[in-house]
Amino acid sequence: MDENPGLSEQYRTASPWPFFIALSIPLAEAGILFNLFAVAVGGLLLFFGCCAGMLQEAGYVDRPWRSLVVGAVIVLAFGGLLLYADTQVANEAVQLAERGYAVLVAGIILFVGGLLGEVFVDDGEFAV
Amino acid sequence: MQLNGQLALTILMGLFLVGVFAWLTRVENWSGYTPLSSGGSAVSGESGYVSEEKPAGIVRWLTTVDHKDIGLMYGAYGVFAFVVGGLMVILMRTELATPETVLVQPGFYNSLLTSHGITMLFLFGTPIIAAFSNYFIPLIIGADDMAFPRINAIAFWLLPPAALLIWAGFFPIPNLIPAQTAWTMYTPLSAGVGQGNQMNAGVDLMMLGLHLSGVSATMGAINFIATIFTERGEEVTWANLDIFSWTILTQSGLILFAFPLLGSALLMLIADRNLGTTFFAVGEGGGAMLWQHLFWFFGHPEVYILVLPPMGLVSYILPRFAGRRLFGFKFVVYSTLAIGVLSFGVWAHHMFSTGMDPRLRASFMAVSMAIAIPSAVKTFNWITTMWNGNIRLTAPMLYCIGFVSNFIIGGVTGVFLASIPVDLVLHDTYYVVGHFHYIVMGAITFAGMAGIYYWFPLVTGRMYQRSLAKWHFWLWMVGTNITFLAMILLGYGGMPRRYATYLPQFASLHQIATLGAYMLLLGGIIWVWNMVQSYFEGPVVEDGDPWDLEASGLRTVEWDWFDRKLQTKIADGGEEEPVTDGGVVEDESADELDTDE
Amino acid sequence: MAKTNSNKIFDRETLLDLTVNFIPLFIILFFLVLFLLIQPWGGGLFPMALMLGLLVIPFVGLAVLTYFSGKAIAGAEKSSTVYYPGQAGMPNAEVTHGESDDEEPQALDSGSEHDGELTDGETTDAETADADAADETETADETAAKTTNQDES
Repeated sequence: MDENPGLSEQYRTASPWPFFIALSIPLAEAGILFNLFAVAVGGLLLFFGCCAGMLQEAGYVDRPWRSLVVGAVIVLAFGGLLLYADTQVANEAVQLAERGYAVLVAGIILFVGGLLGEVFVDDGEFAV
Repeated sequence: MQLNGQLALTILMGLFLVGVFAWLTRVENWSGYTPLSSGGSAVSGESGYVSEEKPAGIVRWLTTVDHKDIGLMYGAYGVFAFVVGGLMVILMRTELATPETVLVQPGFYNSLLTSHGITMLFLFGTPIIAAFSNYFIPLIIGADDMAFPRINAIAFWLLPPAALLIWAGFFPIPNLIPAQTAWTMYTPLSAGVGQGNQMNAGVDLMMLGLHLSGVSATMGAINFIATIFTERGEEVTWANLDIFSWTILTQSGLILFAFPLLGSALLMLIADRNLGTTFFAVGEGGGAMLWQHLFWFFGHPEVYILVLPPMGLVSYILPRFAGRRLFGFKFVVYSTLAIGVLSFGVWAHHMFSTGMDPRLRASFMAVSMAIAIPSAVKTFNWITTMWNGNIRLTAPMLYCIGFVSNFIIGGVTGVFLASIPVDLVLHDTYYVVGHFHYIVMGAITFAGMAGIYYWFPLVTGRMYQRSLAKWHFWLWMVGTNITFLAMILLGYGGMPRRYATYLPQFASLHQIATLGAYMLLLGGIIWVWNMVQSYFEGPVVEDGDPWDLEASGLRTVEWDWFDRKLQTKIADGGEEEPVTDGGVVEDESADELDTDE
Repeated sequence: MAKTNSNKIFDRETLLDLTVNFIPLFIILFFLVLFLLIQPWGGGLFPMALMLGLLVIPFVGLAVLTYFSGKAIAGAEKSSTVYYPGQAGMPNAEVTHGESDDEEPQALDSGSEHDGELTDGETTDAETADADAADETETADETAAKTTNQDES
């Protein structure tokens, strides 16, 4: 039985990335909001890692590494913003700095990952 | 203790990420290990195993980007949320059978009230519409799939975490209680101010979940706009785009402007609660009114986000069983678009009693009156379509007619609320509850049922059980009218909304409403049973036109697709389920069609 | 919407279709004039500006959207083959070319056509006949197209 009569044969019907992207958004959000260091870092890594993977899979980019670096820049900027905001907030109960460090750590890992991938990973692996 | 917790969390998170990474590398090797004997495909990532067939088992559902699969998952999710939200309200109605508290405490009643509203609107209403639109719009407009299939999958997978977060307070987690803010989340209560327990993290989790569902809806909306604008088949022009696609297009436009605003307002509220900001603080910030303006600027379009696609479904399905084409097709299209624009100009009619400037109130009343016209036009179109038509009272048709009937009651009661003097009397009474439940249950859910029954043969390849469907319909039609008419009468009597207890004088009407709710429960059980049993054991549909639409020239392209699917199935030798009751099958499905008079 | 009269796309038939949106426009306009004439709550520049803005913005928004959607739909009608909605991709789809030769009010038309005959759908609705029937007589086909011009499939 033809599930898709009349459709193009080239159509791709499965991708592993969307599920994890969807999972990463609540993890990152909850991690940053409730100041859970590991969850925030993990969620951000998962989100930007999967985005890079999906961009590569969809053919928008040839290799995922530079998208990782772009993601890292965004994350680092956000972390910097949180750290800056912390200095502006007088309220002692609000700990933006800890959240900022979590975001910065995620950014650094992404950056290093992207850099290492760009330098060391053989192009052949992506020439599918 | 604190450190150990962090450590454990870090280890867990690390293990999780490593697991994900390992699994992804394995899965992504699909493309590497495929028999690329032809070697012709150099386009990265667009070839390999997954482009030829779907992976098996649960992995298929976790990784699918096929619009039909995603539509089915939206449907299953919506049905599950509907059952959860329905059971919540059964608990509430049971409590309301007596004036004093017997079954649940008032605090828990408030939690149920909050979750029932949010579950039904965001976890059932929007997803069940997305189920239809995902499955059918690409088929109807001749697209291969959605414009962005992966974003489509992300939009769906955001919903299960959203539901978990919204319901988190109900799970047995220490120090976590469910939100009691009502679905409108009015500040300062929802900002955690005062002696109550609304500073609890359960409220934050609910808001995060709501935020996620908004992100999901926005992604879906962008996808539908792109799909309908750019992926239409060559023959499908603006002049012959079907009515369901028109309503989804308008709905997506509304989502695009409304949901980001809800998301921003929610983030502001979360920041107020956790990060010491003062957006909604009384005195120093915007105060309670700012939240109400922001919320209802989203909230009123949300009403039309939920009702326009069901109107489209009814406009699409009702003519098939009336034997005529929809009367005044373009009237329906233009009035849909008119509703889309005007819905952003009426938000403060939810706030007439807040003491806002009477000049502004008057303007909102004027536009609220104007927006009644397009809805009324549609109603007349549906009635005129049935007028002198060759009506076949199949289950989908019954639900369409039920929709029109309930929509008239819900709509007319709404027009009165648009009038300031009437609203000042009826505001925050059960009249309002009755009015909008006539719309959300009597109209939106009925249209959803019409769609489910109409396309059940197409999606499952089997026919549902007709008599059970009729039982379902009549229980729901009578139950809906008993429940919500009683609420309207309660409102006239002055019964305020959102209370777990009430004065003894309201007891009989409340008991009638509870009776109606139990009829709805019974109908719902019959429906779920019918769907599940028919899915596995229903008579197999062997005709590509099970509704006999060809005879009246009303068959549409998705049934043509179904027909071709059946043809290829026969050509492949029909390796699918062996038809054990073949002879009976034909009789039953024929019976279904012919005797539906 | 006087500007649209000169446009070829906005012929009488299209304008008739758009009347459905002129009614809410008129209601808004009515209240706009009413609130300008009668001001029980007094003037004041800022409240008046807000009040009128709340009426003018939806009015302009609806007028603009009506104009563009009417243009898109009527334009597509004139530039390409028009099928019944939902049937465009089918191999043996009926064609209802939206010729604007006849400009009679459609409501009257289809109302009179469906006199009596509750039971017999086929003779009642010329448009519901099969493609074969439509091929037979050109005139019947045209009547059908006219009747169902606004009608959905």
